Amino acid sequence: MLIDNQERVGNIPTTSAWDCKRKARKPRALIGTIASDSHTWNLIFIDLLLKELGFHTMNLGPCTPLSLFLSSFVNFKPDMIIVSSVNGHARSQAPEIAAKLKLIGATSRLVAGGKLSTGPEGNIEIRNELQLAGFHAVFFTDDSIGEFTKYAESIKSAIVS
Amino acid sequence: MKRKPRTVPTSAFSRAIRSRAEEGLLTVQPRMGFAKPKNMRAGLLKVKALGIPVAGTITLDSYTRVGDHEGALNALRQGHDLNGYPLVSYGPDVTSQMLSGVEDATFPIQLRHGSAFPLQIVSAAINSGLTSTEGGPISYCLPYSRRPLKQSATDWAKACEILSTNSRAGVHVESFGGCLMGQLCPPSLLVAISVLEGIFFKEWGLKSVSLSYAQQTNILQDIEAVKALQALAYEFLVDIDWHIVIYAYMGVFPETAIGIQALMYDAVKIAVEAGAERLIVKTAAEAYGIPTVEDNLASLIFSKKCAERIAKSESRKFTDGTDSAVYKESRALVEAALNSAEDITTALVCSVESGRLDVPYCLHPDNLNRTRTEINSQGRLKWASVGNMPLPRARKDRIRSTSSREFLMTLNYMRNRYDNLSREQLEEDYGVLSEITLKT
Repeated sequence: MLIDNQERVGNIPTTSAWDCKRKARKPRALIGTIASDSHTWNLIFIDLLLKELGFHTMNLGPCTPLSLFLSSFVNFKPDMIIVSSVNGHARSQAPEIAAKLKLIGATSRLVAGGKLSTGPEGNIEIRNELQLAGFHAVFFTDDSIGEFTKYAESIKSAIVS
Repeated sequence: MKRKPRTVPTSAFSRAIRSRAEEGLLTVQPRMGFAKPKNMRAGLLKVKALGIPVAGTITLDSYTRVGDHEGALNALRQGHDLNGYPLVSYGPDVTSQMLSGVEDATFPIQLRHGSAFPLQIVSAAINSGLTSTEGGPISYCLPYSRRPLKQSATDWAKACEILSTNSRAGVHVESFGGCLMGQLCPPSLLVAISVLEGIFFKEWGLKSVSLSYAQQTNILQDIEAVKALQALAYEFLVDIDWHIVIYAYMGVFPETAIGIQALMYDAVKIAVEAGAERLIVKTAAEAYGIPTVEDNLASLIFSKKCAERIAKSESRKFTDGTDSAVYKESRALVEAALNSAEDITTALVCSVESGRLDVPYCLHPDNLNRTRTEINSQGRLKWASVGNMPLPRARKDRIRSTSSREFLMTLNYMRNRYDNLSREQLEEDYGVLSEITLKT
C-alpha cells in the first residue's frame, strides 16, 4: 500500500513520510471571551502571539456567545481554548463555558486569563475556583504573557511529538 | 467662514453644561457605577458635594449592556459584584428613589451604558426620570457588540423616538463616535462618525446632542480634530443644540503618579484650548482596576484645577478648524457616507458594510477591518492602510503584518511615553504639576 506515492515497507510508512505528516499539523487555538465582555485588544494580541508561535487560530471576538464557543469547538477542533477577559466578570461567567464544553465532550486544553474579578485581591482564590470548574490553567500574574507563551509552546510540542 | 449662531440649549443637561461654558468653566465628569442603589446614590451625592462644575454619571454593568438582565440579577443573588448599576433589572421605582433629590439644575446626571441594545435601557431611563444618555448606532455596535449593525441602527432609531416623545424636560444624547475602540484610530474617522451619529440623532427627532472625541497620541493633532469636529457640527447640526465632550485617554494608562497626572493634564489642555464644554476624566486607578469614588473625586478636583490654570495661561490662536488635514479627511468621510443613501440609517449601515467607514482592528462581522494605523515619529496617528475608504492611499498601503511585540508596544505607546518623561519635558510642559497634585 502506498501513502503519498512514498515507498512503504509492509504497512509501516517510511520515516520521511511519517515526518511529513507530523510536521504538517499546526496546533489549533480557539480564542474568545465571556458573553458580557466587550473588550477586543486582548483578543487581538493573543491571536497575534499564537500565530507567531505557529498556531492556526480562530478569534471569536468580543461578547462571545456560549453557543458560538460550542459550535466553533465542533467545527474547528482546537487543541487549546482560551477565554480572555478583562471586565471583571469572568469569575461568574467563565465556569459555564467549562461546564458546557465538558458536556459536549471537549478534550481541548481550556485556559483563562486577564482581569478576572472586579478587584485586585483574591486572584488565587479565583484561579482555584476556575480550575475546579474545569479550566486547566489560569493566567493572571504580572508575567501572564510569559507563562502563557510557555504553556502554548508545551501544547505545541505535545502535538508534534 | 461665517457661522450661524448655535441653537440655545434644549435640554436640562445641556443647559447646565453650556451656561458654565459661557462663563469659561469646563464641566468635568466621572464614570461611576455601583450595583447597590445605596452605593450608587452615595457616589452621586459625593460628586455633587464637590461644588465644582461637574456632571454626575450612572454607568450600567456589562450584563445590562448586552441585554442580559436575568444574568445581572443572578450574579447579584450569587453574591458577585457587578461592574455597574443594573438599571433595567431594578425597575423604575428603585431608581427613582435612588435619585430622589439628587439631580438638579446645578448637578446634571447622565446615564452611560455602552449598549448596542438600547431600547429597554432607554425606556427604563425615561421611566426612572433620567433624561441624558449616550451611545449611537455605530459607536456602540461595532467596537463592543457582535449584533448586526442593521439591528443596532434600527433599535437606536426607535430609542431616539422613545426619548424624543416621552420626556418633557428635553432629552440629551451624546455620540460615542469619538472613541470607538479607544485607541489606534486616526482622528478623521472618529470625528466623522461622531458627526454622522449627531446627524442620525437629529434626523430621528432629538434636539439636544453632544459629540465626543477621545484624547489620542498627539495634543496638536487632537486639538485640530476637535476644531474640525466643531466646524462640522456648525455645518451639519445647524438647528439643534450641541456641545463637545472630550474623553481622557481610553487606552492603556500610565502606571506612575507623574505619568498619570501628565496624561490627565493633557486631556484637560485639549478640552480647554479647543473650546470643548465637557471632559470625562480618568483616574489613577485606571491601570489597576475599577476606580473607587475617592479616585474619581480626586480626579475631578485635579482636572478642575488644571482647567483653571490652563484657561488663565496664554492660549494658542486657532483658526476656525477648516484648514487641517483632519478636517479635510473627516469631511470626505462624512460626505461620502451621506451621499451613499437617501436616509441616514441606510447611509450609515451601507457605508460600514462597504468599508467606506472602516474601524481599524475592529472584529465586528460587519466591519471590513482592512484599515490600519501607525504612529509616526511625531506621535501623530496616521493611516497605514485606508482600505476602501474615500481617502488618499497611505504611503505604504498594505496591511503590514505586525508582530505581537510591536502591537503590544503600540498599545502601550502612551503608557511608555508618559511613564518616562524626561526632566526637561516635565519642566517645560508639566511645570504646573509641582503645584497641582492628584491626591490618591
